Amino acid sequence: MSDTLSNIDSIISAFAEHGYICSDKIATAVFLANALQKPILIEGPPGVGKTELANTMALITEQELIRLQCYEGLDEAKALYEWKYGKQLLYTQVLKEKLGDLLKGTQGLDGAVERLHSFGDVFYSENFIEPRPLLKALSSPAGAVLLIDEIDKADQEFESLLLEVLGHYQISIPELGTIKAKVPPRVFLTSNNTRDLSDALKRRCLHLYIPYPDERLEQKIIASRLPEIDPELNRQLVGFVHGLRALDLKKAPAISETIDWARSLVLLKANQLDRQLVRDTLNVLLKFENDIEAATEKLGDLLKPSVSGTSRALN
Amino acid sequence: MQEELLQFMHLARQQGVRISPAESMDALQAAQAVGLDSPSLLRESMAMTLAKTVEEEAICKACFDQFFLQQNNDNQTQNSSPSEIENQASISDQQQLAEALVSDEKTQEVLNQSDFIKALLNQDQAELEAQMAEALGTLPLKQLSFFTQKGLFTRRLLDALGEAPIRQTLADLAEDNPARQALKDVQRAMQAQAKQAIERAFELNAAGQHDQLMAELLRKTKLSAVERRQADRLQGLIQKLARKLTQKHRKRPKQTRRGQLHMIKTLRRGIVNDGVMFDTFWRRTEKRKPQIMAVCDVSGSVSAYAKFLLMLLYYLQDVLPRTRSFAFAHDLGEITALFQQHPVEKAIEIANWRYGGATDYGSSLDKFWDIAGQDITKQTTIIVLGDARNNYGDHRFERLLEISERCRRIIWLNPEGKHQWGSGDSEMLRYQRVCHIAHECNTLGQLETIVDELMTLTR
Repeated sequence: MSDTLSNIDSIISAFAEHGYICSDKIATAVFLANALQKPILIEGPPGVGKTELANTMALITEQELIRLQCYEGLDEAKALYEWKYGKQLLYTQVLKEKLGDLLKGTQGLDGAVERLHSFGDVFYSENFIEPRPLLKALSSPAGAVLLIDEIDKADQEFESLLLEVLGHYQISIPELGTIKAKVPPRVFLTSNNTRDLSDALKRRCLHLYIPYPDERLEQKIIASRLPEIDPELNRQLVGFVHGLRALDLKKAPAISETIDWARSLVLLKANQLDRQLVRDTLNVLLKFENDIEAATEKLGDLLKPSVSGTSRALN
Repeated sequence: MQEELLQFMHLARQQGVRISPAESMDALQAAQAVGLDSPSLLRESMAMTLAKTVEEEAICKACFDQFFLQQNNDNQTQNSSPSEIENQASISDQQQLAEALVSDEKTQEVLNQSDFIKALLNQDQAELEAQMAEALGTLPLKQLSFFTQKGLFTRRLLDALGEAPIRQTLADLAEDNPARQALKDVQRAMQAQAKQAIERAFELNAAGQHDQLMAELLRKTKLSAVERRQADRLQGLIQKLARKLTQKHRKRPKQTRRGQLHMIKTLRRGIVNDGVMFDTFWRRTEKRKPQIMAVCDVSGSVSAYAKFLLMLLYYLQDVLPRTRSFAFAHDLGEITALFQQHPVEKAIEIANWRYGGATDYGSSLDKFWDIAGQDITKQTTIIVLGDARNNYGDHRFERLLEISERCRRIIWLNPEGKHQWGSGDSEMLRYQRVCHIAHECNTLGQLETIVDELMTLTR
């Protein structure tokens, strides 16, 4: 497993085996993250395979994938750990009942307190801790792939909470002390760039920006996901999607949408793009009415280069 | 190699990538991990460890190309293309040169002293580079930031390369001595090499410093004096300022007396009391939402400033989403929607065109009261950007008083210097009485301080 990640070419082929076609850049990031034991901060437009990278990583390393979805108001009780307060409540009641037996034979108050101190303090112990994703990832004996999804959605305070985990792979719990990971988890953070992250967070990560892929790579991705697709149709539809991305759209189609579209075209048994077909299926690619209208207007221009065989690099 | 990588990082830093020592350590580790065999791989790794945004990534890569690949290219062009022919032709010359040099005792001595000349004569590129690098290392290249310094630095580089004895010997030798001619050729070649090296060092070093210097100067220049061609740069600077402010001042939760019951924490507190929820815990965060209304004078008297004030307003609206913008001269109107719909230049142009003219503060205040008066609350901050020159019209001070009683605070930013306030038709002293803050504001530096202060206040 560790051999796979110690060489860029073997990383690319390992990811390809699991259906994730990655560029040299992504492979380099994975390689460096493994070599330097650093988290990767992945940025890029939605749908270019940010989350999928972590999923595939978990498959390759055969480690557990632990996912933490960020949202506004996420706090340490949901991300790090929480005390099992119900159980703690029960424990005090049990303790009260047993107290008489335990303190039997002690002399005076001082003796009782002395005896009380000799018991281990179970109240705040690991037995009563409910691990949340971050703690779970650190305490996993075989290591884990930790995916912190859409970190930009969380509050800024939460970022500072992450710093200790990302920098040293450890968590400090005031009642217990510091818990350090035996096997450092492989951490992936994704961000859609809805706000700027703090420099402190960025400093602790490798920065990986995944752009929309070029035509050749996207064709390869489609071919790996849909082996039955006609290569000519594949070329045409990728060319068309790249034409769409060059337009000024509210939401440009991402890879996941290209795959969906390719899948529906295959289902419709098409082997050639034509105006009618595109117009009928455009709603798979574009999610806004305005975008569909804008694209329909430009349909002639968009179809010409991709259909006429002269594949023009639009990107 | 480490030395070169550090130099590369220094270059990237100058071009605006923030690289901390921790990051440079990471980058060096990364370089160790990927090895130096593949330049593209190294380039990718450097960009990944050093850059924190997409823009920085692009800068890093450009710097990498400039720093490492250019060096390679230089070597290649020197070795192969046009100069190669020259080189080949001159090989026999070189031999003649060498012979001529050896023929005289004095030149022989010079030749023996200098490794650089030997390398030059042997066409040993690697040795030449090494000698040059060593000589460059002795110079304080980081101080090289103006092109006027190039001559001085070339001179110092030549000294470091050991040109002095050549000059000395040249003076001593007789005119018709063949060795003299040969030595002169050597000197010329040496000067050419040194000049080229300094040229390259200047390109690497000074470009970034120049930018920094310009930015620093712009901050201090009066807004009205900024030239057109610098306006683009200023726009970038203002945008950067606005972005920096967003980072610093986002909505902070404010503690209030009471909020929602926090069941879990209440239960846990109850544990001590035998499960009786005696001590309640309340989620007491409530977000306070400051609102800003900015009123900008776009009349002729402040026309030089109006553009920048509007620009600031535009980006301020980006930073604080609850900002409402107004423009006025003879008439007042809300331009919030205008700013939302159009890019900055166009929005400013339209605002100027629609509301420009001679100023009438009185009726503008009345109009402002009509449009926005009822929306002003105790959380509203009103910013007025203007010179308070009312053309001797009705000042309607009572109206401003009324506004000031209803809002949280009024801040007046005046592009005129404080000593001019109240002179001629200026009503500034009158208006100032009800303003909570009145500032002189005519450089970007002042603007920055004021906006920063403002953001802390509205929090």
